[in-house]
Amino acid sequence: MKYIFKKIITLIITLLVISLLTFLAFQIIPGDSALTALGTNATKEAIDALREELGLNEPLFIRYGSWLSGIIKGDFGLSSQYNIPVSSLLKDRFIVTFYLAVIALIVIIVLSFPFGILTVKKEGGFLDRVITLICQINMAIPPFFLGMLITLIFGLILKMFTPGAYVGIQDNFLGFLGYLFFPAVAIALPKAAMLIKFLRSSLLRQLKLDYVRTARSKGDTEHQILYKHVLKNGLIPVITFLAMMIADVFAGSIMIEQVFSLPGLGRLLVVAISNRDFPVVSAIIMYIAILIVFINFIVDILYQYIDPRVRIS
Amino acid sequence: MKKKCNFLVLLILLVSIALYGCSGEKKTEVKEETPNTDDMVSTEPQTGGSVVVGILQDLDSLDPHKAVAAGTKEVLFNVFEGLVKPDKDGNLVPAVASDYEISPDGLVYTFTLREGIKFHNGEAVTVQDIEYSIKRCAGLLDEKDSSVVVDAALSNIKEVNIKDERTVELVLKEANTELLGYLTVAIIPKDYKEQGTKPVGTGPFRFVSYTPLESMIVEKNPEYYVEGKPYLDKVTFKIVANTDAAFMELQAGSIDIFPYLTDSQAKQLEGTMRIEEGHMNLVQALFLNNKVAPFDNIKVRQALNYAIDKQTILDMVAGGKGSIIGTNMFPAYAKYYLEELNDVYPYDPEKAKALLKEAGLPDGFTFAITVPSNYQYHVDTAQVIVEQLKAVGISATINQVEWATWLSEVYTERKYEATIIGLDARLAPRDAMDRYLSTADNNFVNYSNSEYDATLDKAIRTVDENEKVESYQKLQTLLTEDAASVYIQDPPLLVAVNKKLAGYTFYPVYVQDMSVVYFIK
Repeated sequence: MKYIFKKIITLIITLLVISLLTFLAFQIIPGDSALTALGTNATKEAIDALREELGLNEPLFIRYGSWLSGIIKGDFGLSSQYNIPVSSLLKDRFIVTFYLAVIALIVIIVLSFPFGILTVKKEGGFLDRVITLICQINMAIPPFFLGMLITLIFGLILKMFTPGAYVGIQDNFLGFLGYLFFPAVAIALPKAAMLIKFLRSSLLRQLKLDYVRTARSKGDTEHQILYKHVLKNGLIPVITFLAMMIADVFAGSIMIEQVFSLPGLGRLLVVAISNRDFPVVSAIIMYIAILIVFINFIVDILYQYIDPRVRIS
Repeated sequence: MKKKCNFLVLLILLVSIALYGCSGEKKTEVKEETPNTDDMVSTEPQTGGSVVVGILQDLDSLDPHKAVAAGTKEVLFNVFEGLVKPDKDGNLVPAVASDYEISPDGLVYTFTLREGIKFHNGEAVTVQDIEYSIKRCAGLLDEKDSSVVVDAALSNIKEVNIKDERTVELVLKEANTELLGYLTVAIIPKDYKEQGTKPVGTGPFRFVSYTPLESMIVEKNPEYYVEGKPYLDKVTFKIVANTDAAFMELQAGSIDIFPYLTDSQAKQLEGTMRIEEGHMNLVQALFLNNKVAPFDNIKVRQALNYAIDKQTILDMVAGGKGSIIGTNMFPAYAKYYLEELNDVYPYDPEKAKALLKEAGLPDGFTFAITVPSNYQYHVDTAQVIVEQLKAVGISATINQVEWATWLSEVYTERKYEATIIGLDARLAPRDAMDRYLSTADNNFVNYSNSEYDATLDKAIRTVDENEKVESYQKLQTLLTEDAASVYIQDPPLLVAVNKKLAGYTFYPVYVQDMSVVYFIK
């Protein structure tokens, strides 16, 4: 219980630090939202009036304070670009990114576990070397380039999907999932490659430990050793790795949404940053931060149950 | 080994079956017949059909009086109209007004409301709506909305008078015969509160829906006053993340019209799509901050003009297309544009070196070109210029900044040495020239010449057409002689159009007019 309490305190402090950093970062970068909103033909008076209305003339802490209290109440304010409440703007975009991330995670798991185990079974063999090579290539290609390659090969040459023919979730759920599949693959491939390599080394490390020799002398088959003992122990670091990967998948979606023109959070973030739309940027960053901090929190808690040794330390 | 291979083959098979499943029914799509479509352009227009137009920027507002971005205005052109609107030859033709008259002294503009014209919500347009719309843009309403962009030119309006049911009179503070070019501002219903979410106008298309980051959809306005127009039933303006994504979508057929192709993309699309070629109607220049050393010395500015080979820039970044310019105006202003200014500074590196020597900089100097990174075209131009300047001993560096940074640091605070950008202008010659007024808010090049200020004043006030043309030509000459900046080109605009469509028309202003586009029978 004390452990959980301690974790919750860290969680709150982390979020506060993130909120402060987000806020300050926006004060440091040049450009302001009033200027960007009114553009090149605006008069000085008009810019001043809008700055006043947006509250940009208030002192720094007062703005931070009112912004923070708004967030705590769940009110992120109005988007300076779209003039609609940030929460309603975010809601629809979040669904896209959420499904994209979930599909990507499923693809990662579906690809990495069978292949990871396969490489361990065939360690040093031809198949192991081929898979390792493919993994190496996948990790080396930047996701946005992979996205373009996928669009070219599966979209334009094989015509398995039509680039740009995105359908909304409310129009056609299956069509929506279908369109997200290829972007998700583009996110998943490099991550899956990392996970395969990680899984491989984690399992191989376990295989060299003493308990494996004991199991062997006990008469267990290689199959039993792998699935009953090694996999269980080898998975512990993999879970942490997976949790960290969720953050990566979200980050990856920012790039991929640009390539596939998906109306998700990542694209909204990019557009909002270039328009200096602080309410939207801060909301998205806080959203992602909260999500990641919570996932880590849950993993920490789960860990205790998987590995009782964590509780002692 | 054999077992391993079998496993691999099985796996590949499984994956490809899974992927094939995703493709669904799309395989059955019938490829439209491509041969000879170019010959079919002459066939008559067909009414109906829907078209997807790719746009690169999200809309900054649906309220036409709040929209700032050129990318928004070009789309809203289909939904809104002003008292007058531009036609393809650069003339202003009556729109919401059926007729207008400008008093000989240039002080009173009288407009007659078009008979029977209606808003998209079915209500008739009244003179009160006109009064409201003009006052809103001129900052004359009692209740001001700070996000409405008040046009500096319109603030010359002293009063808006309703004469009768169909006549409105604008009285100006100072004589100005060019105000008509600014009266393209949208006429909207008086006191309508939902303009930002459900815009209502009088244009050829009416608003259906808008989803941020996705699209804006408009449909045919059946009551449009021009007989037979628009042809199309529905137009979707699809917001695409970037040109690369748009290029993929063009090839896949998800976009029918895309107006911002790069030269290399246009070459690749030849054959699959029709490429229309026009002008962007921009003044692209290497703008020099006239107050910062060494550009405060006219000899240095002139040296730069001699040292830059404009034709090579055109060849390198625009595939040889585009028009070279020599001053802050472009050929679309046919009546005013002075083409001979192109030859004032021929490419002559020796002369440039001599001028630098005279200016006390025989060994050249170093400066930074600040370029907004979202405009690849300007970044490419900067790269060519950097190479050319090396030949005369000037070493320039490129400093790429975000658009918002450019707006605040370069355009507003004027903290820069040189920058490359394209300036647009409305259909009034004044709009192209008045930023060089020494006191102008948007005089970001810090140009200052009292003769220029006086000539501009004369040009705006005069009611004599010959004198006006002469004055504007004088202004252009002054800019070139003073080498206010290095004027480069009016860049080409390359538009990909589906071969089944015809009628795409270029305007001397930056708009996408979908009311003239139609499917070929």
